[in-house]
Amino acid sequence: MSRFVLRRLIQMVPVVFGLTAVIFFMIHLVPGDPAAIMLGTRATPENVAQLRRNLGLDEPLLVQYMIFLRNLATGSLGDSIFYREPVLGLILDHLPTTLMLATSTIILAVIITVPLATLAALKRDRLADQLVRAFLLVGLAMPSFWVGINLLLLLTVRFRIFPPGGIGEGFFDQLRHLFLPALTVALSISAVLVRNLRSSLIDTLTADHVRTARAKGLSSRAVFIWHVLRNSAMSTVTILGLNLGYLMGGTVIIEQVFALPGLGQLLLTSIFGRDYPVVQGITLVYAVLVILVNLITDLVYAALDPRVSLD
Amino acid sequence: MDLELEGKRTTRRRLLAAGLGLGATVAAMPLLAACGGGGSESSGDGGTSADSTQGTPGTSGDSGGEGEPKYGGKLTMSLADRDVTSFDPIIPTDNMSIWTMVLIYDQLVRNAPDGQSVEPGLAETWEVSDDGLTYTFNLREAKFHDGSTVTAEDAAYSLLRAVQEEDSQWGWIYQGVDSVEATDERTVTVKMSHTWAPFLADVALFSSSIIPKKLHEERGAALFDSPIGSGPFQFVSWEKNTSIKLKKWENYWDPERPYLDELEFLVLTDANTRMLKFQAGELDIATDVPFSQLEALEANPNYTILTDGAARFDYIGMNHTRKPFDDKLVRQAINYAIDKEAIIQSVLFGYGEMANTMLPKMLYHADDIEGYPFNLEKAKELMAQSSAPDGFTAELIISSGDPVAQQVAQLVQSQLAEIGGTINIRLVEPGSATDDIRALNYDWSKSYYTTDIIDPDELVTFGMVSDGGTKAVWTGYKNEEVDQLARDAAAETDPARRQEMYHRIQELTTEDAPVILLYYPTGRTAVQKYIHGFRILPTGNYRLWDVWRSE
Repeated sequence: MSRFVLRRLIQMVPVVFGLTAVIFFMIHLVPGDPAAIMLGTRATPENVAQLRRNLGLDEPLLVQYMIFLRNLATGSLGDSIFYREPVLGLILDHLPTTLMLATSTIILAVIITVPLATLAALKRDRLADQLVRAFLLVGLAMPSFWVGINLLLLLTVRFRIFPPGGIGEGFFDQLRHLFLPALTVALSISAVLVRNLRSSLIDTLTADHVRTARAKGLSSRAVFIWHVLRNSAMSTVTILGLNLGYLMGGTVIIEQVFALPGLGQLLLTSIFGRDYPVVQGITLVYAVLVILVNLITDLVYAALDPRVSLD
Repeated sequence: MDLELEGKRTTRRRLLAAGLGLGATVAAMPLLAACGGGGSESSGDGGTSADSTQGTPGTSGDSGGEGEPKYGGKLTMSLADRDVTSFDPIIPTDNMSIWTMVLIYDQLVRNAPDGQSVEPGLAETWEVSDDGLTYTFNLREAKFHDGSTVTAEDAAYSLLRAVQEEDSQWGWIYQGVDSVEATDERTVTVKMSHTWAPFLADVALFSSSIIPKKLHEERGAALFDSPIGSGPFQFVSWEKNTSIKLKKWENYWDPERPYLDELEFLVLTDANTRMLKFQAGELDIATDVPFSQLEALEANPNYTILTDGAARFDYIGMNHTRKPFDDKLVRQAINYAIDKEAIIQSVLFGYGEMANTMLPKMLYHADDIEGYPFNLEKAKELMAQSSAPDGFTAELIISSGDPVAQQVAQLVQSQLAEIGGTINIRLVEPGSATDDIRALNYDWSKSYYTTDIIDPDELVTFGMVSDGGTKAVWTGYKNEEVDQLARDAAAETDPARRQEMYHRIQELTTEDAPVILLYYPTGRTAVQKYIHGFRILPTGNYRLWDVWRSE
């Protein structure tokens, strides 16, 4: 198992390296010059050229990439063009919010998915099932920013139950602030998950081992939890893991809608300002996170299914 | 420059829209009265509401200046464009940095609320020699936020930095400065090599902010991580891309101000989120309200909507190096063919005014020039006489993510079809067309500008003059008479003569129509009713030291 983990971690290196190259050259392909953007309308070409020199933006792209790699090798992501401070510090400031959002989203998604899928599977083709399936359709079809704005309008402006964006102070206040954004992303992910879990539950419910378990006299609750749910959860866990990239993408938009000071918001601002080092740094962090979560998914998979061997 | 969104982030001040009631009545008087009054010590430090013995909060056409000002409390306000970028006075060009900075630092003089003059800042008084070549500033007693005394040495050092330092983004604005010296503990003397009428307006610019010389020499750029000034509010914290906190400076030289104990600025770039937070009561002041939401907010008795603070000029820049836009007749025809009123009504929901000259509503703006009211007959006539009687084709660049610009572009497109214009709208992500525009490698681009100083010199140089470094807002327009007049007007010290010159400049540039003149939008700030004394200064920033809350 530890050898598996080690091997996977070593495999990360070329992947991340390739990613840095793609990210670096892609963002530089986008037209726009950070110096010109920073200086604004009034700047003369001389001002812009001067700032470009100061920022090292007049070096050839390949040289800039080498500098980026050299920094990376020493654990530095360079300095932000706008803030003139280390990118790593900026990322560390914003990472907790995004991680908390992602974690709450996953927890909420599970809380939504399991009961709904169970209900739908047990009441297959009955009214409850139809309702759940209708909900899924809606969840899949609605863009999450729209859902987010409507939740805000309803639950904060109209009923004032939740705060209208921002992150708050202190752990519980933060949870309160995170609830709506996490719910928004969770709803769109749950739509996929419920669908999947429902159909695997239905398959498993009619499997031979379930009939055997019932036959040996286990209560239907025990049968469901130990023999049905556990076996059905496998593919859902995989889907959840695979969807993490999607979830991260979702947080970028949702952080904007709910004014959450996370990585997504920083990323967006930095893209508009062509703050190359920050964009590179954040994309790198996202990439590493997705790779790590895929690894964790595999581990969970093994834990859920004894037949899966990691070595 | 240029693109709306980008401009939003980087351009500067907004000037007072005329006729909005902020009139000259207020001028510099309240502040002078307050300084002169002395004696009325306030219970500055508590959250309690002690009465101040004198002084109105210096406001009339603003968010309700009525009643006795109360002390204490916290104010939360949005930064709508993006985060602050730097607190080094000579570096930033973006409004968010600029407007926050002027709360932390003092300048020798500052812009008076009327938007047409300067009032005492750190300099209690100043004299200008008869030949206009020597300025003597007499400093008042004041302390930096670390407790040290502000000296003439600090002031001279800071001003020189703005004028001379290689990194200074604003060096170009201080023309004719020959020397800046601390002639004694409390006196700064500036010698000019030639007369320069906008000089006092330049001294009121944020880049002239006074920093502690000794600390800056010791700490260098690190000083601006937690900036120290002598302004009404001192720096507390800055969470990047999230919030900035300031608190009252207890030893501020004006014993009556500020009223508020704490300020917090939240970076809220998403308009919906900003307005939701405002409606939920988490924001006291929301800036940059979307046009479409103004009417609903105005109907709510708990809010005040401020329409002042909008000396901004919106236009469509045309590239004169491309045919047929080098032809004045074509440009005039285009200007007549566009129904500005229709745009203002349908896109701005009426919150704007037709632009009659290229100068926003500020000092020396010429109200009597007619501009280009919608006249399709005349437009067709001009087109027939022009070099392009069969029409023209232009690609119009606008910023994606800016619904207002998109709607304007569509109206322009359909209106110009009437005179044979084929307009192809190209949506670009903000910032990505900058290089092309600067290289005059484009047809048309929707944009706007605002001013940083109260004097029109900045915008005339930027927007209308061919040799000002920006090729007349990147149009390539050149009129030698305008160029010469702009130089003369800046050197002329007689205000009446200057007024005439700027009038003539506006006449000429309106006649030549280097750009499509669109509109002057009004400001759009939503303020909770319990906030008093808030106003947006002519130069776009806000005098939060005058603001108090009644609950």
